[in-house]
This record gives sequence, C-alpha cells and structure tokens, in this order.
Amino acid sequence: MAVELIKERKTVAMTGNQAIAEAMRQINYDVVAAYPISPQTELMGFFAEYLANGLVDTEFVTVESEHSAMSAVIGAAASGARAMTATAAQGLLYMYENLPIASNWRLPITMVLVNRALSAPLNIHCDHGDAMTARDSGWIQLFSENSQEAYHNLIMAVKIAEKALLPTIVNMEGYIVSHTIGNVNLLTDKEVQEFIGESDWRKNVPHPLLDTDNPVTYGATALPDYYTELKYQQHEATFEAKKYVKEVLAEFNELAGTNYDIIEPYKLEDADFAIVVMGSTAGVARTAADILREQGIKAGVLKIRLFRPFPVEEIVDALKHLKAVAVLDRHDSMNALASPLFQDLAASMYHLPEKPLLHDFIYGLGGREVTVEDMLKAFNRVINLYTGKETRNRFVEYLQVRE
Amino acid sequence: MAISLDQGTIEIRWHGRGGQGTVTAAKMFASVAVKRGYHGQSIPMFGLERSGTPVAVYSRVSKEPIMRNDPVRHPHIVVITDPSVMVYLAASRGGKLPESIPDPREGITDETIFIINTPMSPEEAKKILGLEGKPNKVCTVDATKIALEEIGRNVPNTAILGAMAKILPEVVDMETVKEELEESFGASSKLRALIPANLKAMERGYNEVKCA
Amino acid sequence: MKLKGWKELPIGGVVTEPGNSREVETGTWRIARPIVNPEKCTDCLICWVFCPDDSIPSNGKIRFETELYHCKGCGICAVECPYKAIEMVQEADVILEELKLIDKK
Repeated sequence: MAVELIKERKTVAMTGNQAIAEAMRQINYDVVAAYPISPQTELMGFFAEYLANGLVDTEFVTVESEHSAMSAVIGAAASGARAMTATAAQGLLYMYENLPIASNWRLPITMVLVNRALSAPLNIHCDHGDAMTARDSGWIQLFSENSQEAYHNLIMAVKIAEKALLPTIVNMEGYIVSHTIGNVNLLTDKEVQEFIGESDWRKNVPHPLLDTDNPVTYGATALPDYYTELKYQQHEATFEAKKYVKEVLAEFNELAGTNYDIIEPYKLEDADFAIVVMGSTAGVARTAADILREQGIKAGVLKIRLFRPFPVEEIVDALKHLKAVAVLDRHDSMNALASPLFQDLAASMYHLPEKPLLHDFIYGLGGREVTVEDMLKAFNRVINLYTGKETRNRFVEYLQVRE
Repeated sequence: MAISLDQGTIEIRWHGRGGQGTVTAAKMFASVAVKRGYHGQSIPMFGLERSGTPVAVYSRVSKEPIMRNDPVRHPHIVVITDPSVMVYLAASRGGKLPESIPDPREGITDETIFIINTPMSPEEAKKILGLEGKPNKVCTVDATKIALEEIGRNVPNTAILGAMAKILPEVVDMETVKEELEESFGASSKLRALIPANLKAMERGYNEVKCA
Repeated sequence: MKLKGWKELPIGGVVTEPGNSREVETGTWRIARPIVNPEKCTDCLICWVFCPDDSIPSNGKIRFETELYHCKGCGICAVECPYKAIEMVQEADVILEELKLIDKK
C-alpha cells in the first residue's frame, strides 16, 4: 500500500462519490480506467486527487471514451491486474459491446455504475435504466441504499468478483446517493487490504496474459461446434456465483458488524402486503410500511441487494405467504409484459400453487423525487386490487405520471 | 430557546443560491453532526446546480440511523442563507414569490424555527414572513456582514453555524466546527490561515443572533 | 408555470416554439443589477453585443432598458462598456430602495 491513511476505524460524513473514492483508495486497484460522465465525474475527481497526492499505486488510464475504458480494464484484468472502472447511463451503453466479453472471459473487473437515466430525453438524474440494460450481460449486480452501503458493496465486490470469476457492478444511484451526505463507517486501510487479499497477477485470473511462461490467446473464435459449451461454462458460473456472494457477505458481516444479506426483508414475517424495491427508495418504503402498521395494516418491505444473479429461492421464500406485492421498478422495460424486477419476480413465483398478487409500478424516472406518499399510494393500490375494490388492465403502471 | 434531538429526527431545509456555499454549509452541518456522534444527512438538491439559482437543500439529524431520503416537507428549522430571499419576500408584500424561488414558508408548522441571514430585526423578519402572532420563533443574524468584516469575503456559512449553535447546541458547537474546518481546510496553508477568522465569525454569529 | 401532462407534450419532446427559453425567469439568479447612467451612455451598443443572455434590447440605434426578467447580473456589460456608463448595484439594495419609494407614495 502506498500510504496507510486510516489506522483506526472512524465514522465520517460522506457523499456516495466520496465513499466510493475512499474505498478505491483503500482497495488500491492496480488499474483504473475511466471517462467522465455526470454524476460519476466527481467520483473520479476525488480518486484523481488521491492519485495526485501519491496515496495509491494505481495506474489511472484517462481514456478517450467509455468503450476504451472497458477495453482497457478488460486488457488489464486479462493481464492479471485488479481493475476497475465507473460510468453512468449512455457511458455504460457505449461500453456495452465489451460487457459480455468481460463476463465470458471470466474477468473479475469491478465497475461502479452511478445510476443515471438514459437519453432521450437528456437527463442527468437517477433511475435504473442503465443497470437494467446490463442485466443479461453476465455481470453480477449489487444495489446500494446509501453511501455506507456503496462503500461496503465495492469492497465486497472485489472479493465476490475474484471468487466467482465474474465481473461485478456496484449500483449507486446518481445524486440521491452519489451526492447525498450521510454517515459512513470506514474500515481501516489494513482491514480492507486483509479482507480483499493482496492483488497477485498470477492468481487474480486463471490465465494471466503476463505469464509469459504459459502464453495464452484471449479472444479466439468459437464456431457452432464450441460456442454452446463455452456459454454453458459461463451459465454454470452464474448459478455458482450466488454461493460466493453469500460467503463474502457473511465474511464481511463478521468483519464490519453489518447485517447484510442478498435480500433484506423488513417486517415481512407476519405481513400481508409488501413493496419490493432496490436501492435508495428502500428507506422511504420502510417508512411507509411503518405508517401502515400504525393503522393496523400488516405491511412490509423487501429490499433486493443482489439483483444478478437473481436470488430466486430466497425471494420466493420471503414473499410466498403474502397477499399482494407492489413491485417497484425504476425503469421501463418498453414493449415487455412489465418491467425487469416484476418479470423476474413473476417468473420466480410461477410454479407456486398459491401466490401473492403482483403489480408493477414504474417510479422515480429521471430523478423524479420519491416520497412516502408515493409509497403509500403503491401499497393502497395493491391492497385495493387484492380486495377487489379496484381492477387493472395491465400488470404495470406509472406511479407518478402527470395526466 | 433551543430544540433537542430527544424529540426524534430534526429536519432542516436550507434556502440559498447555487454556487454560494449553501451546499457547503449543509455539508458542514452534517459533518459536524456526525462528529458529535449523531446520524447526519444532507441532500444537496433535486435540480441542476447553476450559479445564482435559488435552491433548497435538505438536512436531517438524529440519534437513530436515518432511514428516509425524501425531500423535507415539514421542516423543524428553516435556514435562509441567501439574504435576498427576505428582500423578495418583502417585495411580494405577503403574496407569492417569483416561481423560480423556493418559498421558505412552504410546509412550515407552528413549531418551525427560522434562522435567517439578514440585516433585518427578528420582529421585522417575522412580519415579512407573515408570522406575526404565530408561535414560530424567528431568528436573524447579519451573517454576510459578519463574514465580510471577519473573513473579508462573502462566505456567511460559519456565522450561520454560530447562530445554529444557539438553536441546536446539541449538534453544533464551536469546538466541533473548529475540528471540521481544520480537516476541510487542512491541506492548504492559505485556507488554514482563515480558520481563526471563521471561528471569530462563528462566535459573532452565536452572540449576535436575535430571536423573536 | 403549470407543468404539462404527458398527453399535452409533443411527440419526441421536440421544441415547437423557437426561443422558448424566453419563458424561463432567470432574473432571480441576479445578485447585482446593472444600472445605466443615461448621461454617460452613448448608445454604442457594445453591451448589446456582449450580453450573453440577450437581455439588452435594441432597435439597432438605441439601447433600451435592460430586460430584468432574464438578466442574470453577470456584469459583463459593466466591464465592457467603453464609457463606464454601467454600474453593478446589489440587487437587494435596489429592491429595498424601490419598496421605500412605494411606501412613501
């Protein structure tokens, strides 16, 4: 480590971007490649300051586009380096060509996605549109509720990626997390280093390009005779990945005293109705559930931390006893039955003989502020659908649209 | 005249202008709260930050972890860092403010306390806010003047924090603000030299704030 | 300004009226107001050329009064004026002065 800065644990006030930059410093990546895009720009600015002050040993590649950023970290990771990038919205879409390559090559890259709405119309604020486009890319995806979780998720992501040999995205919502200041408990530099383990180019990937004694070729063609087998190898790895995520979360909980899980139920044991949500809205949803409980309605919330691989069994187990579930999607999967989280949930429950009523709400698009009233509206709508007071024409509706 | 965290989470709404340090003030406030061992939160804004734009910034402070991050609707404290808000209010004669300025009276309750950077007396400010006869406490301090006199620049943040130390002593105090300044100014000797002046401004903010 | 509903918006979010930024009030961003001294002003229109917000109306011959609904108070006009005819005055002071005048009446 270049410089040991934090020798004792401490609690500080930090934005999501500051917390991620701090985690990046403590991780001390071998290679970071990035191209600026709001709201990620500030995050790389903080990191660049650490770099300029000699606090990290990282090779920071200031590339000319996101496509090159992803190409650079793929090259770095294939060489055996611990590599990272960060982007948002159209930046991710510009990288997209390379995302399935990183995952099929089984490169443990970590990426922070500072979630931002996709153009058009142009908008720099938050929704999950960017993350959702990557849902079939083979990358693991974690969601963060606040800056504390973003900080922890990135540290865990390094280990998850290297254990599962799959690239991992840490989602952190733009502005509402990236620029909101909150309490962050920082681990010591030593604790982070010990947790993730020293970066060793010989061990980070099975076939490092730097190993000149055992030269390999990445990027070979697989024709119809081999393509299926190489995809199946990856397919199996994604099903294995959940186990590694759970292991790393358990190890981390032991270290940091946190209580993280791949899904996080709130008052669900005896609940009749629930909201399922990812990211920063979870706290607002829990506030609404508490209000309904005061009125005698048994409400709960399920927060999903691990979106990919989708934790089917755990989610079914947490929700199967409910009467009705409001699924909150911060993205519109245009032309589909409903939005991604709903699709995954509905498919997960299809085999159950008795299942809760599911209804999908699209919310918080392009940074539309999310209030407790919005959450109550979603709860009340599913309660009324369940009791038959209201009916529906579609499985999906916009929660906040102005008529 | 102080309020306490024993009653639960305290919610604050700041009224300022983009590029004039309101976000920095809210950030300092959250940071000081965390240093005092509480849970602090500041949500910069939900719009585009452009220099000069009137903005609202939200803060929360609590003894318990803060769950929600929605905009503050019914603030316990309204802090107006931009003195022109009061001028616009005066010019509106109790009517509506221009649409582009967030109204500091929105969502207030009888308990809402105002801390205002203005040369006006608290009585005058209370009248302009249309709160005459209401139980609300309205406090004023000429933080801009204090900043110009002590620091030599229009950075009223520390003087406003001084006034807040009087209303919310549990959270804001001289020693912690000093610690915060030392940390955030620490890297630059030019900025470090401004710490004593900032502390003087804070002390004056504390002593000169008047409430009605 | 009443926000439009989804049915009222043109397809593609296109802007159908050119120059609609005229409707956005940016005058409240101003902390200093340009005050023109008519005795020094020669209507040379240098300020009209430099104003980044098109807030100085003119018919090509005469400088009309600054359009305060849009003027952000950047002060470029005051710097560029070759006759030093424009002074930047604190906005709050101007408003308070105006209020006093109204009260007197």
